[in-house]
Amino acid sequence: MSQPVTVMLSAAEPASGAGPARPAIRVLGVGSDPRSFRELARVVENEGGAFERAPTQAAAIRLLAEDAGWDVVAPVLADEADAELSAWAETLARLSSRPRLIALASAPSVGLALRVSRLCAGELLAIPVDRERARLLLRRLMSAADERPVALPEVSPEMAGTHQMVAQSPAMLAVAATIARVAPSTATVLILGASGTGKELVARAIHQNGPRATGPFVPVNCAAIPENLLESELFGHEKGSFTGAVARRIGRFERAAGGTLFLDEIGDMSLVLQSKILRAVQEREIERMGDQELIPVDVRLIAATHHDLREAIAQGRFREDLYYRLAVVTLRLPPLSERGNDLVLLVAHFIREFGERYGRPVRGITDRALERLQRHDWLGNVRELRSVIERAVLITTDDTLRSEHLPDEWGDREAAGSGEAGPTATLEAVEARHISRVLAQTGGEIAEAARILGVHRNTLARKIREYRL
Amino acid sequence: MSEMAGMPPLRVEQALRVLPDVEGLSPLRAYLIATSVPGVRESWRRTASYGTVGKRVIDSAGLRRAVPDALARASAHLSALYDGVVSALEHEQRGDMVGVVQALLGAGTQEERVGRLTPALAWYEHARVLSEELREREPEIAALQRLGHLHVTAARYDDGARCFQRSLALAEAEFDRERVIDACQGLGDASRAQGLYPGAESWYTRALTLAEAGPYPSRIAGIQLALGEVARLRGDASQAGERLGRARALSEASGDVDILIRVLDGLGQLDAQLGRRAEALDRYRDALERLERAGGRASLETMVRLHLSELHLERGAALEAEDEMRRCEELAIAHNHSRHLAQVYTLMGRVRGQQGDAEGFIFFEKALELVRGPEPALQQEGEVYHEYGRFRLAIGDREEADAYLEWALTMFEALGMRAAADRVRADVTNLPPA
Repeated sequence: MSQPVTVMLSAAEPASGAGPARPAIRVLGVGSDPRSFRELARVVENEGGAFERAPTQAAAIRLLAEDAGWDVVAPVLADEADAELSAWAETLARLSSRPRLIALASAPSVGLALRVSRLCAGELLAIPVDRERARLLLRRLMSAADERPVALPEVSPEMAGTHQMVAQSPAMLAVAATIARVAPSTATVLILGASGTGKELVARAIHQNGPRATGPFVPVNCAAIPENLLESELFGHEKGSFTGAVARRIGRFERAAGGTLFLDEIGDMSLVLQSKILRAVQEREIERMGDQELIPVDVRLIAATHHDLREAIAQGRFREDLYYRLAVVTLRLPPLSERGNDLVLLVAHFIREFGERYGRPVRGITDRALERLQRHDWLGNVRELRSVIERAVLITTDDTLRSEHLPDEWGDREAAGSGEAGPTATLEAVEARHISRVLAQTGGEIAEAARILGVHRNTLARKIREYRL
Repeated sequence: MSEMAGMPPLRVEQALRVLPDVEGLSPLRAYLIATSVPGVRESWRRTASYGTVGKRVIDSAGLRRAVPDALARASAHLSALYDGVVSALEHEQRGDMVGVVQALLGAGTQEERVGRLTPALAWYEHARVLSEELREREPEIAALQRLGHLHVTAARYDDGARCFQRSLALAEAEFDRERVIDACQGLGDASRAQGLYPGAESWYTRALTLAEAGPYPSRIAGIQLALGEVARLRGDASQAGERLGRARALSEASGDVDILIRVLDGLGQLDAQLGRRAEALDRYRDALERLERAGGRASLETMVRLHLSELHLERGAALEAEDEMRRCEELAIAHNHSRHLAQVYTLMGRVRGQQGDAEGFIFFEKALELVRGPEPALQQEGEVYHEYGRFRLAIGDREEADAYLEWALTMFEALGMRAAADRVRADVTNLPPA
């Protein structure tokens, strides 16, 4: 049986009558020179862990095979780093205990760090080891070891439906009911909601359940398209009508003929273009740029915005007549924070979706990761959640998403958002955070947010500018 | 700009629409863009993934802080030009016409340094005309070579080649070996840009032979790099590897960081071309690390990061590619590198085309707007149209695809860029029937 050559036991006291307590973390260093591990061993010890060293890879593999209690293996990589890493990748894959790898190297390159991550899903520490970095790394690993998988609900593709709307919350069920009521008509619909709440999904659902379902659904993101292009994109242009018009372009109004034109983020449109849209809606005909001919258009119009259009009208940034043309039926989408347990359903749905897309056999999530997801302020709503799960699925190395797979920067936001503002948090930081949360709840509506916060809307607007919210 | 309560932030595109196209405002316009910031509240909007420079938000505080610097720079530039003119007049008074030409060339270089190619051309051309009247030929050679480089930069390859040819003849007659090397390299650059690789190789080889025979070791690394690039472009990987390897050893020995970064970038592209993606990734990372240690060079960093983005795309890492492209965008905006910015947007558009996302047209339109700026970049405009045509085809818009490809073909043919024209022609031939 192999024996480790150096033993630095943790300072943990054995629990009375229950045998020796298990150290917080067990780390096996691999390398012939004990000096390489001096700092790491000290950090392990300070964190209540145990550090031991095996002089060679072969000796280490024997120890790992005999004892499933190792949490971390920490080899020193030398000249043949790539070959050593490949060998470690194979070894770790064979072990049922799946210890994590923290490689050590002198003057490591970024390339080596990438290979450590790619081949072994490990981390790389430079020798001499930076104690703070080692401490943070070990704490992250120890924290991960404490997490327990939780069961997620089964969300089948059928449940999501063709519109990919995963919801059981009363707020969303009310939205679904409204969709069912308005879809069969040809009424213009205005969808209001914060970023990432699913305005386009709802628009598609209305189209596909309406009388024009066999026609095209043509979305236009008015905020994404540069202002100088939006007119030609909506109404089309003739060849040579302006510099760069090297070909005739059919506009989106024409492309949507017999179907639905979805004008997303209409609140970002300039007043000039708003009047052209109004004319198209009223007259039901358009002109291509560079052509005098009037072209009849037959489209159902659905518009959406995250802006408070009444506020925009009051400020003279949005035409009131256009607003009333668009808001025949108004549908307000709730932010994720008002959708209760929909979050868990959505997590399960996205894990399945991205697991399949990237060929990752991810099946679950840990209690701590789910708790962090539930505590997070989802300013970007479902779109942000989707992105977070996508990245987590991509970086996980086994079948479970853990807290460590969630964004690091959440630590600060969560601390501030939970009301547990640290002793160093400034009053401004707390105020900015609170305003953000209220704005998220109101879907960005300043007037409503001002009412909740009990301040004049001009005061709130000034603070939004001040804090760059 | 006043802080207006409750008003949405002012976007770059709105601000630029307000500014008149007055030359005196150019530095301010540049600062307005360079100090703009992505809208903080935009980050989770669908719009964010289609964000281009026009959708950024004016940072009024940053702009205010930048105004003194903008004025100082504009004033320093004008002051250098005026000094050049006064200096030329003094030389004229002393009857020193060589000094006059040098002063005019110096002023042109000042213009070129801040990206004002058209005014630079006027200075150089004026200097060249005056230099023809001199008994000494060196000033004329210098003027011709400055003009040659400028023409090649502006994609006027035939004009550039003519200038270098004339400078070559004069330099040979004067037995000025260093200027002969310059002329050969310039002719190589013009040929390479047109895709005339055997010609380029021949000019570079001649430059190399002369550099190796004379006391010009510092020139050799750059010429080896150029030869390596030509070999890579014509698909000779072993020759390219050998040349780039030599260029690397020489630039490392001489400590020439700029050449070394270009060499590492070239090696990265070569590895990528050969399917050695991990090695390519290491080369680019190495280049970026060295750049960081050397204190950074925005233009080189953007070039390397663009190639890194392409590599991420090839290996299917779309998220990393997007991150890298956005980093390039930030760099290009902060340093007012509109051509690099156009390259970033062209690549972003290409990615959207591969994903079948019709909204990708936004990036191509923005790229076209950038390359048609105050200093038009014809070659790049052709490249954007080529990619735009391919994009239109990818999203099933054959009519526009055809129009853009034909337009790119016309541009490349007019510029004499045969290899590029052949690539477009192949795409036109492969268009599905209308």
